[in-house]
Amino acid sequence: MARATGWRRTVVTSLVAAGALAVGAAVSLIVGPYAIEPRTLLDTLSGARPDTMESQVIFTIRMPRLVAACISGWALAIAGLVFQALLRNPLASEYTLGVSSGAALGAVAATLLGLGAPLATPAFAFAGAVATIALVLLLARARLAFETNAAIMIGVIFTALANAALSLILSIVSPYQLQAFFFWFMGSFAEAEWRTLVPAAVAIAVLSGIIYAFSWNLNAIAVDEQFAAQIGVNVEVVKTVLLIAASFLTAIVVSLAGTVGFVGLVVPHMARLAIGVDHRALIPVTALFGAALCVAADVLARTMLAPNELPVGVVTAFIGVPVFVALMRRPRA
Amino acid sequence: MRWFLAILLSIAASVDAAPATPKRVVALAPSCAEIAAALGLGDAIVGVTNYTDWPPRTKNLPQVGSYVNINVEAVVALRPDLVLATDDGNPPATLRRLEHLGLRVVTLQLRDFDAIQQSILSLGTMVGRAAEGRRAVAEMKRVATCVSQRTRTVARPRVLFAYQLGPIVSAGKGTFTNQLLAMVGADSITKDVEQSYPRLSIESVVARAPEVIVVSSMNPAAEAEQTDTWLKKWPPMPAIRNGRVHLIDSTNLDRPSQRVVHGLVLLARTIHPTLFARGECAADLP
Repeated sequence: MARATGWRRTVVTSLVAAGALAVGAAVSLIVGPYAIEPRTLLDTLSGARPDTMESQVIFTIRMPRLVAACISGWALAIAGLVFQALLRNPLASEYTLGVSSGAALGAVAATLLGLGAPLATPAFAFAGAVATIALVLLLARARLAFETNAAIMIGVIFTALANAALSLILSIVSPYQLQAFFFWFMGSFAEAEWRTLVPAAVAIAVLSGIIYAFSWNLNAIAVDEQFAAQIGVNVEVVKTVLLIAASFLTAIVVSLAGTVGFVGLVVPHMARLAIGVDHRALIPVTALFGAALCVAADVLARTMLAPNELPVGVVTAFIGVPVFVALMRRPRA
Repeated sequence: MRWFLAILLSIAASVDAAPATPKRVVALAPSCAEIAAALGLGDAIVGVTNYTDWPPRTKNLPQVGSYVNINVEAVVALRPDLVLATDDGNPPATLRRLEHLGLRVVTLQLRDFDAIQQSILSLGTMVGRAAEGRRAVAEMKRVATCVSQRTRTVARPRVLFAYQLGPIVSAGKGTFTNQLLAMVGADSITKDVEQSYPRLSIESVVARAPEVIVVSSMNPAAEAEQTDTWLKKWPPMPAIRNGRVHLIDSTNLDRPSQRVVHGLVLLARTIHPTLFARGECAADLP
């Protein structure tokens, strides 16, 4: 009986999240400085008006942004959920573990070295993310047998170091490069293009599938590692695979959009409050919430001060921090 | 006794006579060094900020930091008898500290075309080089009038002026750059944007359909290809369809000194190529 209501709750929550995402997506396609009538929008989407300026605006500007926001929110939320479950720490996220900063540092380094190859920047962001998580977990492991708070502590300290390194770089580059680097700090979906979105979406789908395949094991590990081992989970292998998958998810997003903070931290908590702690349901619901949040944040980023555009990370921080504070103030059931 | 009188007389003279010409000048922005040069003080400059390259000898002078981040100790160490500052970027707190340390700081008002002229005239009087100041200002006025007369009767194209693309950073309402655009007969698409240096979304630029895109760059030759690739990612704007995307050297555009008239003519020629094809209105200034 309890199980039945649990599933009903999951279904209702998923529908709410999917509805929010659909509304956000519709708004993000309708709203913009280039005036497009909803009717024209529908015609264009159905392919009735190819080669018009409206279709160019929709298919090369608004649509790629929407897809970028969608898959980024999806990936960041799942990555945060995995980090929180594996480290059994509510503060764990790609942001607090330093993975985002490491990836941003990699991206800025690629730009500074003048690597013009099309995939050099994403590749460096990727390397930065993976190197950071490896370093943080290695240092945390050296201190006691994987004390989970140590990972967060080292992550936060590493983030501070990475930010200092970025500030150092920013104080020596020419003022003309500043705005471009700002992109990596606070995130933006404005530069999204199909050429990079398609492979990113495929990779995110595959990684999400891998993580979902381990959702039952995640349930066990989130309770206790010894318990998980007793019931037959190969804890070390599962943890390694999942940590790599979550780091890859983060790195992909940073290479697309820079660092978009607080999504990975806040969204898993919202989802857990709504539907409980079963990762088989949590993974898809968290992903939908994350996508909806990023789509909404992007709409706000490009409309609040239009035609001036805000970094999307500013908006997610302004939404994420109050939500996180509110969640922390809730008495535990 | 005669010796004593001589000293007394020379002290009286230095107090009484025309203002003393500074011997050691530190310029806290590239524009300040250029203005000092216009007043014949180029050889007196002993320290500059990053990116200062005019007059040419300043390239080899000691630097005291960037114009927004000035090393106070480095300024003091140069023992200047005049520190030239700008109200357009130098941190006021730094200037106050320099004054408290007993240095003579003159802050030039360089936020618009008229203010630059006033600053050159009043600094000229202050340092005993009034004639040089008047000459520079007269040339600024002549060029500005020449440019505005030639462009008065032609159509004003819609222009996007960008300091940078990807993201697009432009110049909003009330900026010096927008004033220059108006002076050369351009209809800036950002003249009504409230922020000074807005980061524009590509869609808002597409919606305003610029007929000419001007990208100011410290290195136009090196950035041409990059600019082209980036612009081709987006829906075709009139400027792109008609091959009217221009990269221009920012040197004489983003430094509010008398030399900005070189930038003014460059901008005019970029936006109205046929009107200025034979070097019309060229400024007679070093």
